[in-house]
Amino acid sequence: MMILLVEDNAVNRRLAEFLLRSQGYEVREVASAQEAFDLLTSERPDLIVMDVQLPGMDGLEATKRLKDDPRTRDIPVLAVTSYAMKGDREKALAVGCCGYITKPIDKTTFVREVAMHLPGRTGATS
Amino acid sequence: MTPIRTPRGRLFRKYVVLFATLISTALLVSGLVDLYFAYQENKTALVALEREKAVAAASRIEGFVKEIERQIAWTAQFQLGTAGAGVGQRRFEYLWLLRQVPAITDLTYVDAAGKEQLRVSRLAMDVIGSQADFSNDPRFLAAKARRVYYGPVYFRKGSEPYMTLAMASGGQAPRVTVAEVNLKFIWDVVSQIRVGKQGHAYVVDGDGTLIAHPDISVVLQKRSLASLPQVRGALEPTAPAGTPHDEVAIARNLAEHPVLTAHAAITPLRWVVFVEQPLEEAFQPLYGSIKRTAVLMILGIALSIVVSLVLARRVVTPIRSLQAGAERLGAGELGHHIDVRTGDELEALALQFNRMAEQLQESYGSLERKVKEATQELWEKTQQLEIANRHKSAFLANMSHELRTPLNAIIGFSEVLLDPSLRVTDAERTQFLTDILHSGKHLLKLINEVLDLARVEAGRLELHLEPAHLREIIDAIHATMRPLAARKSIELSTRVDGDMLPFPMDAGRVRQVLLNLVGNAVKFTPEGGRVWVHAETQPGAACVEVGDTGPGIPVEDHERIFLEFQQVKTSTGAKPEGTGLGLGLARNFVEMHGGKLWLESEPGQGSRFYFTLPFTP
Repeated sequence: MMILLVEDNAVNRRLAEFLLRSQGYEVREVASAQEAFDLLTSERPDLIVMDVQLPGMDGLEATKRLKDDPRTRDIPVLAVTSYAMKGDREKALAVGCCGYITKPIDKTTFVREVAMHLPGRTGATS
Repeated sequence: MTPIRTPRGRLFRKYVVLFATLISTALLVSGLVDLYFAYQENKTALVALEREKAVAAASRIEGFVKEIERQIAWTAQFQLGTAGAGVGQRRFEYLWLLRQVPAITDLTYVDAAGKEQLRVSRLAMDVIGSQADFSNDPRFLAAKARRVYYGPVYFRKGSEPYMTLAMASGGQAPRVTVAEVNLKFIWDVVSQIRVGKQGHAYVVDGDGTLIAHPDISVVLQKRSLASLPQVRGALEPTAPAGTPHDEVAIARNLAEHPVLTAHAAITPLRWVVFVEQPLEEAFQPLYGSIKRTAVLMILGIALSIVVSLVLARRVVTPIRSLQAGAERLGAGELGHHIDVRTGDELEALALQFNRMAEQLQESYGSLERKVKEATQELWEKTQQLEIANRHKSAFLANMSHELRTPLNAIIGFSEVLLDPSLRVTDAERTQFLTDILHSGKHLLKLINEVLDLARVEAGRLELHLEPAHLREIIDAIHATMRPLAARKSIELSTRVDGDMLPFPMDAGRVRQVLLNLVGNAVKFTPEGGRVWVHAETQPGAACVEVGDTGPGIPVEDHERIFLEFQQVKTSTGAKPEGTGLGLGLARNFVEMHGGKLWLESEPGQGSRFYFTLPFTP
């Protein structure tokens, strides 16, 4: 299973990467939406963990674009946001995200959500 | 605005009534006065005419009687010697008299003793010496008293009026001649008098008994007219003769018709001649005149009404157009122009109205402009408020993000390190602990800056101004930042021109400003670059430049970077370190000192931030 991690903050990226690798996933990490698009031309992850607040194009906009593209439409996108404001969840789901996690991330929740949204492994973990 | 119910047409009616009344009254008064005088003059003239006729008749009758008297007197002047011879002579004389005066029908001669000596008649045989006694007869007694006796009128054969006349002649022993006089002559005189068609004359005697009238049947009734006011007035001459004004001019005749009457007295006989004319006929011409006057008056009134209408219209029309204009102006139609060209006060009033409307319009215009301006201002304020509100929301969202980001690392890594099921290498442990420490420090910095910002925005941040050496602060910054710069192989240099004396400033805040600017410069400048701090003395202020050889900032971002949480991307597009609050705070601190903070930068040309600190903040 390969997971694409889109996160601009290096420290947080390190944390998420460690958690995902600890579950045995292969992880590709990028710091911006553009880097993600570049990477997606050559690789096809099973899940994208997308930070909503990115420099330049934000995570929601990027997700919308991914969902508009037939080649990337089927890849589930899990939104991670530190906004946690009312309506953010709805906005994320509206653009096509399959799930929504707020920072600070809870290790267990994070791992469970990722596992839940991976294709073919729905509800597998705990 | 509720429309005012205005009474319409009142003024017009008022004016019409006023004008019509004025003109009609004038016409009516003049007509009536005219008529009154015409009536008076007419009446006076008619009465005068009647009187003239009456006087003429009276004088003719009087003349007639006087003539008889004269003839009798003339005949009787001869004195007879003896009775026998005298009677013959007298008879002869009497016969002559009868021939001379046709009106006398009988003559009787009475001697001084009152004995009838002779009677001569046209109708009977002469009687001589009848010795009939007259001594107590009123005719004899009256004549003896040297008065002419006029007997009452009496009728023979039913219709012939007669009167007895007796008069004396002679000296101490008067003898009396008694004559019976046919009064047909008087009748002729009376019936000849005509005034108009129905006017006529009549004669009454001293008792008011009618003795002559054109209609003989009336006379034969022997009616007394004493009850008629004009007759009574004439028989009781309270006023002396020659004052005809007191006479009754209008009265009623026997048939109770109103008549215009005049009279003349026949003095010796105590008769009165009346000339009367029915009023209706007498005033016939006057009635015509009244009719004419009435017609003229009606025409005049009609004309006056027409004139009134025209006049009232001329007066009221401009008033109405004023009223209508005022109404339209009142309804807000301020562009309406009242057109009144009467050349008088009304035109002046209309002009004033128009001027007022213009001024109102101007006032309205300026008022509208003011309202528009006020609305625009309000709209702008609302916009600003909205922007501020949006700004607040954005700030809160950013704050949430900025606080959660380091917390995410602290909590996440702490959990990882505490979880025995996770295999963590020593290198990873060190890295994770370092991350936790950095995140904690970052969080502290963030909290401090947020508190500063809150104080600045609440106006509660106070500067602690004390004289300080800018050079010392710059040196301290250099010492602090050099290891960080050295790690990126960045050359950090500082320079302070001339002798800069200490001046009042909040040294801590100035250090914060410099740390932020130098920190940013080191952060964004790629390895091997240069960062410099250069302070110089300018008139009244110190100016500090913090420059670098970094990527530069596009002009469109020059103001944005001073806003909260608005950072410039790093060359890699990744989020730079820092809170995103530092630059805004730095500018606030500088401005609180009375200085300015700005930058000069272009992409690829590096950045130069400048700030000034006045020597006397």
